[in-house]
Amino acid sequence: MAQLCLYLPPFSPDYSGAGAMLFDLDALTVMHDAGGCTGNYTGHDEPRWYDSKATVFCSGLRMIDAIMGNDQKLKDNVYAAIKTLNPEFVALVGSPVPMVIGMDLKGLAHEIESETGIPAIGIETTGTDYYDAGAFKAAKALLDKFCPSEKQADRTAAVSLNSQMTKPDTENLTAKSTAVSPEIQTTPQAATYNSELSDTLLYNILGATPLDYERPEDLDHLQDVLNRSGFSLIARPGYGYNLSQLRNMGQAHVNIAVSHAGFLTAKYMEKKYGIPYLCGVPLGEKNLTLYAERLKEVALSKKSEMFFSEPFSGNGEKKNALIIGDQIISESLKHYFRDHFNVTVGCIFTPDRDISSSSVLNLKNEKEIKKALCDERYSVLIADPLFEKLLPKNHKKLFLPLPQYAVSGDIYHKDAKPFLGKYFDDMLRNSPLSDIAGSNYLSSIASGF
Amino acid sequence: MKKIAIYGKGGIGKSTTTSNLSAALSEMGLKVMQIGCDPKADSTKNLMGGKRIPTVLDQISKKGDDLTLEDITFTGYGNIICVESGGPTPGIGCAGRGIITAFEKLEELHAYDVYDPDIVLYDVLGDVVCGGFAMPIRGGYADQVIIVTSGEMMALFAADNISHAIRNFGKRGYARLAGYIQNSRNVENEDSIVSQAASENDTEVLYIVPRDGAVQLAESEGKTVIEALPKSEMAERYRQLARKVMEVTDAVLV
Repeated sequence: MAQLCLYLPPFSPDYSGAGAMLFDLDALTVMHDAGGCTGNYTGHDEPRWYDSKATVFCSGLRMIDAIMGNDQKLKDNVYAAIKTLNPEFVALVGSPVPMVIGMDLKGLAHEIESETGIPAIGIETTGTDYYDAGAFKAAKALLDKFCPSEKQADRTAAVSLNSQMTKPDTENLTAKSTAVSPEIQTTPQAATYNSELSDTLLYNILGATPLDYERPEDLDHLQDVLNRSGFSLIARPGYGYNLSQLRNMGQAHVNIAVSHAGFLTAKYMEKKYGIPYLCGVPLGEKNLTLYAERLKEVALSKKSEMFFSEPFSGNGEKKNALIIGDQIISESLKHYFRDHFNVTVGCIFTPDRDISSSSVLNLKNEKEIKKALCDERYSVLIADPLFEKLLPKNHKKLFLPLPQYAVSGDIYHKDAKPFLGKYFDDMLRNSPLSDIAGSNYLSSIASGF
Repeated sequence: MKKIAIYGKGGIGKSTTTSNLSAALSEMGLKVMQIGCDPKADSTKNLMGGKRIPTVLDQISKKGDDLTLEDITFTGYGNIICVESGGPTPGIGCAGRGIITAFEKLEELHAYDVYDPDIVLYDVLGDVVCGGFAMPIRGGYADQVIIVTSGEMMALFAADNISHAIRNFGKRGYARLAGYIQNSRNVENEDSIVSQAASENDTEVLYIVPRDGAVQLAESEGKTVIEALPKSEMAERYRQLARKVMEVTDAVLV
């Protein structure tokens, strides 16, 4: 009964993370399930689904087909859909039933590719892991298929493409773009800088999906700031990218991991292509400059770093805060507040031992989440607003709501605001934290480090 | 790294053949890993002095996320790395899914990177009855399949089924069939019967292992023939088998 949820919905599963990673691409995405998993993804885990055209299908797996291993039915449906839709590639996404019967989606994809000539990937999601694991599995499958490691060697070609750069359509990222995007995106400012090709540092933003970043403005803002600092984006898989950009990802000088899925992808790309990464996100206007500097250091030294790795200044007399959410975003928040709170991170998704931080609670179920939230030691809470429902109605804690689609889906989506960089200052000014110590407190936080 | 899956009817002598093959390969200076894929979990027993080792699935049940590679890998005769996937009690659970879970755990713990063996032998229970039992021959696991059979009809029937399964999976990039090992049961005209069966599946008999009391004698001591009776005729036969397997699977000696 420990897993019973009385107030919380199930958090986004791995197949939703995979779906989010595939959504932008011209893929025939087939979720191999009876219908519930596809419905869960499209209905609750994908904010872009409602306003855009997307080729995500349910295979309609039935009991007798599962028992008899009738893979031909799935293949026939895929072949029929290929004729109609002419996708760039096919993606088979797993769910609990294929997992239990040991269906080999990678082998099936191999078969589909050899019979049709259209690239196909199998993503063996199971429905028993969280979205971060699924987003990584999809990113890995895409890189393995479309971005061979020898691409790393030819950065010059990628840089030369910058002469054709145009600003990306960042105003409509909530809807799937059906147009072909530029190979590499940048701002006009960056294009000027990039006239000196040897100084241009190419980068990818990894792990950005709507399940962690409800507003694309977050990523547009980060991208604009970095492009003005002499960087040039190759791709941000999961949130505004296309297959051409994906093919160039191995040419980056450096990667940015903005979520746990991004961290997993960054580690994989470091191993596969030798690309170092900076893990973590900048919060507050002042931190943007520092972030760009650290990114440049990582690119030049080829030594990966955690943006939140600086030592903490001891416990002191500070208030205790609990931050619940994606582990990388939470660690970045912890770093931001390090001089003001003793922060504990509550991990509710896939815990990662490689993210070195003290004070991490692995909260495995609603009971443990509720216990942590109600713990008297924590007077400040930063989490999805749905978690506030686990507190007593008359609680006295300061609660900074940070909606996360992987937790609360569409419930708070219209209220969700961007929070990276300069947006975090705005968020704090209009939050319960602004009352803690008046404007002096806020200004001290906003001034950064 | 060469990865070979050994299939065949239950009770035909797969584990005996595989263990002796492992022992002979280790004598040749190769680093060998043997992975038993059978809920009975007795594939590596004769490499471990007759003792059973804890299985991957049992250890997952006991230790959960705290499981380490050392909990599931054990060093046996000739420094052979021994692993047993394990599985549920007969009649309950899902043995096929168990194999998949055990394989995923080995991947997750980077077993192949850590030990970096020259040869991995998967000793797989019986027939390819479901997706789980096809796991060892999927992409990324075994490159080649060897089927152990005798001249008995049921053993040949199972060998035929396995051969068909491998052919059916051809477009998926699975392992290819390297050939049959005849584990003789002294059936009348056994050599020609097995040879005929192999040719009907477009393959060949790689080696004929004779029936010999040395095998039972060594097993009664919880050992392979290579370990217990190294100077016996049967030990030499297993060494010849090892050389033949290396030859046909294009493995590179180090």
